[in-house]
Amino acid sequence: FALWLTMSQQTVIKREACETCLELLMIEMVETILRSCDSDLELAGYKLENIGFRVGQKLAERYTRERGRFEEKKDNEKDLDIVKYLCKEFWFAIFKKNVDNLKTNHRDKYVITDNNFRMLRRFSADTQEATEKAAEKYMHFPRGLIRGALNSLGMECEVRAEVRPMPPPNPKVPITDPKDNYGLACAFTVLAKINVPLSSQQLNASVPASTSATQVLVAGAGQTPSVQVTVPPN
Amino acid sequence: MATKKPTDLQRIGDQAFLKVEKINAELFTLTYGAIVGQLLKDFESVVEVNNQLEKMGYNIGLRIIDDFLAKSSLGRCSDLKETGDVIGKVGFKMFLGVTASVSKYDQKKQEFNLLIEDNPLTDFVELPEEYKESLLYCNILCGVIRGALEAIQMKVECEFVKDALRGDDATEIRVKLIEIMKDDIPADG
Repeated sequence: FALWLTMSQQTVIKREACETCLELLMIEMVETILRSCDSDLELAGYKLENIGFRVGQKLAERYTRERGRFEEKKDNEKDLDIVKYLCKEFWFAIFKKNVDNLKTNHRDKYVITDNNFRMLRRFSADTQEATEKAAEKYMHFPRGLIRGALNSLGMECEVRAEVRPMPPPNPKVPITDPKDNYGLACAFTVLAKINVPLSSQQLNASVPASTSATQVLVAGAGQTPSVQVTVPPN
Repeated sequence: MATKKPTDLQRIGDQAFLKVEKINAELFTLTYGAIVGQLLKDFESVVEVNNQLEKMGYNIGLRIIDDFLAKSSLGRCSDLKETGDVIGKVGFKMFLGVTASVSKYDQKKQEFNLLIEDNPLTDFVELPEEYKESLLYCNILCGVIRGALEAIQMKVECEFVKDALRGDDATEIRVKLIEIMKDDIPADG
């Protein structure tokens, strides 16, 4: 299928649109694709993920045009650089906030947590369980978006998503916007596809327990982040 | 009720746009483009894709009108021309960040044309040759207008008369009023 969205070489006008447009478009997109698949949830999920992939790929391509490629580093440091970029600059450009938490096993697994995922802000149902279930079909697009962005940035991977209730509000932080208390948290698990065979040194080194994961980025209101996160001007 | 001038409406539209939650328009544009791309893969004919886009727009329109009325606090329009001005100066501005204008108004035929000179949906979009004759890429807009107006009891038909993606200098939609629907709910007492 021939690519038909041409990207102008010149810088683009920094356009904005009302968030409602995207929210309503998302709902219709899911419904239309589901209908076209005769309600086959798996097939619809595959297609929605593909749509997200194309979008993520294009967006990352645009944002990194000036930045250039991520430099090759040893082990998985380049991957980590890529994921950090996604969690900070990219996430901010798309969702107007940074990721709240990033964990990694420093090999091939990254868990990205957003405590108030913007694409699920309008969601509510009678019970938390019902809400999370309903939100499932809306997670395919963001999964694809992340996979597409990472792909464009130089990382092949698989992305899974898990919807969770928002963490309880921090009592120390005053509530500025009541809307911030309604929403859903999302944990995206990125499984990098590593092609490079492990060197004998790496194979022989003691492998840490698979459940261990190091906190790489923690951005909590009122806390000092363990890694300084600089937010670029929009 | 006094008819609001387009300049007044423009101001209302600008103010409304300032207040709404905004997103990066590229995300919206690219998502829409990817959806159209997927529909072209999934459906047999381009005509069917056009229909799907209109239908999606219709459903969006039914919902977006509530958002619109809440954020603009505008009352009833006194005539069809004002309806067109409101859609172009307030509606388009509030949601897409651009204004459209009423380019042709025919009171007798009860129709108006909405001229869209700057269209965020088509940023970076170039149609491949095979679709230039048949694909109504922005058909979702026709659906949105139809759905939104139907939700406020106006039954209309929308059609593209000019399409920038197919070589015209701008995009223009003709909106024709078919009928004003009577309220189904009887008044109390």
